[in-house]
Amino acid sequence: MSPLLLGVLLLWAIQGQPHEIDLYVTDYMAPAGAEPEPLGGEPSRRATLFATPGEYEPVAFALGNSLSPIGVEITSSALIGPMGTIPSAAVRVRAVEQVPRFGRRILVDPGPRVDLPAGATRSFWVTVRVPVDTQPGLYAGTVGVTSAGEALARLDLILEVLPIQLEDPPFALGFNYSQPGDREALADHLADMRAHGMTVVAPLYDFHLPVDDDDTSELGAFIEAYQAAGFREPIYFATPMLLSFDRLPGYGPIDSKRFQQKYIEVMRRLYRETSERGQLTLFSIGDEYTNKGLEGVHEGGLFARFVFEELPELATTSDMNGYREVMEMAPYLSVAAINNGWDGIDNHNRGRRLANETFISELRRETGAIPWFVNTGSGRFPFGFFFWRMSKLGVRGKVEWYYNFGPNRRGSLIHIEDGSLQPTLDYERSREGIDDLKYLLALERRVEAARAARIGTRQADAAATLLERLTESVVPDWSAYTERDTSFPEDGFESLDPARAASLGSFNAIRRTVAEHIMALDRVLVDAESPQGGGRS
Amino acid sequence: MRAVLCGLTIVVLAPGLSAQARTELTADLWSRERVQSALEAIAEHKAAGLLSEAAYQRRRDMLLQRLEGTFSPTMLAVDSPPDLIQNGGFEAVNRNTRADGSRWRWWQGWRWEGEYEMHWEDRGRHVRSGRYSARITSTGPPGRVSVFTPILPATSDSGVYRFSVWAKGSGENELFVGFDAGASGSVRKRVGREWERIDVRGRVRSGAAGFRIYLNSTGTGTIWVDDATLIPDPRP
Repeated sequence: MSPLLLGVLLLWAIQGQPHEIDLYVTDYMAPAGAEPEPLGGEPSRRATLFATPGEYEPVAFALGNSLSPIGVEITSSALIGPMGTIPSAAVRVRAVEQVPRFGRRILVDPGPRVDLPAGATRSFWVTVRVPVDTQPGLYAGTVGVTSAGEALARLDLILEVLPIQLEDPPFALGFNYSQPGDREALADHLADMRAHGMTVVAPLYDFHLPVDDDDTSELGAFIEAYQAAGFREPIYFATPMLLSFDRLPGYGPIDSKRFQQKYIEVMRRLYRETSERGQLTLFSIGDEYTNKGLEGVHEGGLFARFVFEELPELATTSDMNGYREVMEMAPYLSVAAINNGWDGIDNHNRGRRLANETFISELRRETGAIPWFVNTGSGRFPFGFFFWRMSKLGVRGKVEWYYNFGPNRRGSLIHIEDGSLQPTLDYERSREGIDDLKYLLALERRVEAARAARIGTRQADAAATLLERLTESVVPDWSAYTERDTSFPEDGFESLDPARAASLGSFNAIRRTVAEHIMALDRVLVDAESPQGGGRS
Repeated sequence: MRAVLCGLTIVVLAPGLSAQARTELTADLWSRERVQSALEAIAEHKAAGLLSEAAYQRRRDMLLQRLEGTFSPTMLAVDSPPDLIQNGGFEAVNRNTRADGSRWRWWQGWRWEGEYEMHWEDRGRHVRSGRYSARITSTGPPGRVSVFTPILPATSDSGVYRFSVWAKGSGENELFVGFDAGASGSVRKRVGREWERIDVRGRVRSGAAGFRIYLNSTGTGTIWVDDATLIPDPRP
């Protein structure tokens, strides 16, 4: 027997029987816990995506192994089309993993070999980053699953790049953030947040406060990095909230000269650093006074009034979580940052919640503060359709807990392993939510433009009807989704094309419909601008 | 004159003195340039969507009054209580707290080892003054649990402070009262069944900007504490 044949036989003996790998596209919006189900109910090895230049677009798939354990390699190809190529480096495959003690599922690079135990099904995400200069058109590629050179399964990727340029939403959207300790990590984190569509960062823990010195250089370095990363919205500077309940209470009560003068001194140092760098900054002055009962709420009101009178040059907010707290503090704040609220231990709020149309109207009418959300949920719907709906009521920002809380503590949206950023699914879905928001805003802008130019009446009416339906499909009350099991949209997507929902997923089916209206209006608007155009509808 | 409102100690000066002090302090804080600069800042905030029209107008009106010298600050304090301890009688409780942390406003708390429970005490025989005292009960193996102050500023010229607290106990208790985190001075003792005053003199270490005071329970049994005060000691 030749050595070569012997080697082949030995390899066959080691690897056992031929493997049967089951690959099928799944819904990346599926909840945790269950065995991954095929997207649309029917197993498919063909994933259909659409995206705009500059967008990141995910698709998920599952690998099931019904026979003996096996190690596989997973590789992605470039996506090729008549208009060009999207390189394979822009097609990133990552495995879904649950990290004990972290409490959230994350995406990790699978490395050169993925172990598939017998009888197991593992989930993966493919995220395509469409380069900004990609030409519209169809692009195709594959994700291959091989073992020792043998092709075991293949996922076909069909991507349509749309002729749409999305823009940053005119809202502050982001997460609380801890000082990472070095400038390189800071730059990486900020770039990652921008790549996830975030428009604001809310520094909170581990940032230096100039209480015992006048050193504001760390804040200055943050501002520099923030601007370099391309953030344009004001910084939501949450760290100063620590002054009122942690760092300065030893100086005296809030109505003592010792406390007040120290507070003014520290805040003016911080303000000087921000203003010298031309960086608009929203300073958070307090945190959830509702948790201290009604007495604490009254204290919050007095404190906000003090800051209003003695530091009016600061744009201010406070993280608030109860009705009475908001109504006492907000008249003295620039922005009222609210979550859905609770009653307080002494039930002083009597069941009133905050993240709803009724309260937001009252807040704006009675206090003049601009509503932002703080901690009303991460993920696609909270950042997307729900925020879009609430922005129509005047909500202008949303800051969530938490990008990098402690060293990989529960609540973080990012898991950091040896400097490598491993996003949670919630974080990735938050980006999808912001993309939904961008599509919706893009369509609204086109409708306005068409109406202003008095062209494309039919297309604008159709788009406006869709936007109206979508508006009505979102209940403007966060409690409906967290306390009353309301689904989005309320009709359970019955109005969608079932075939489209089966191939794209429900949210993307809506997004696709929005995109088609955008493109229809763009055709009219472009046509009107051309020398031969005449404003035809 | 002093009064307590919502757990805050209000220092009230004689009306004439108070008004004069407030005028002087306001003049120190509010130069004309600062008012002008603040007016520019709020206009920028409004343009950037950080201020509504109504909120902008309120700030603007206030700043214009400051320019004219007609604004009367309602919150600016001109004095401070000499006692650095707030809620020294443990009267302001926060029921929205865990039993192994501080249950009292202003005070902080932590359990390092052992099993303990902290609670506001309202049984009259265990309360020295007011409605409540602070009760620390051992519920298992001994270790260390603490109620402690926030960081206190080192403002005393002499660098020396006098802390006193009333305490009583039962069982094999051990009360350890100590200056820490920037200052030194401590007392460790078993407290008896009757109220007794524990006095500790603390000295701030050179260069320290602040310090804390810890009320530790390190034994078993129960300790009650009430009526804590901290005053700078002019004697070095």
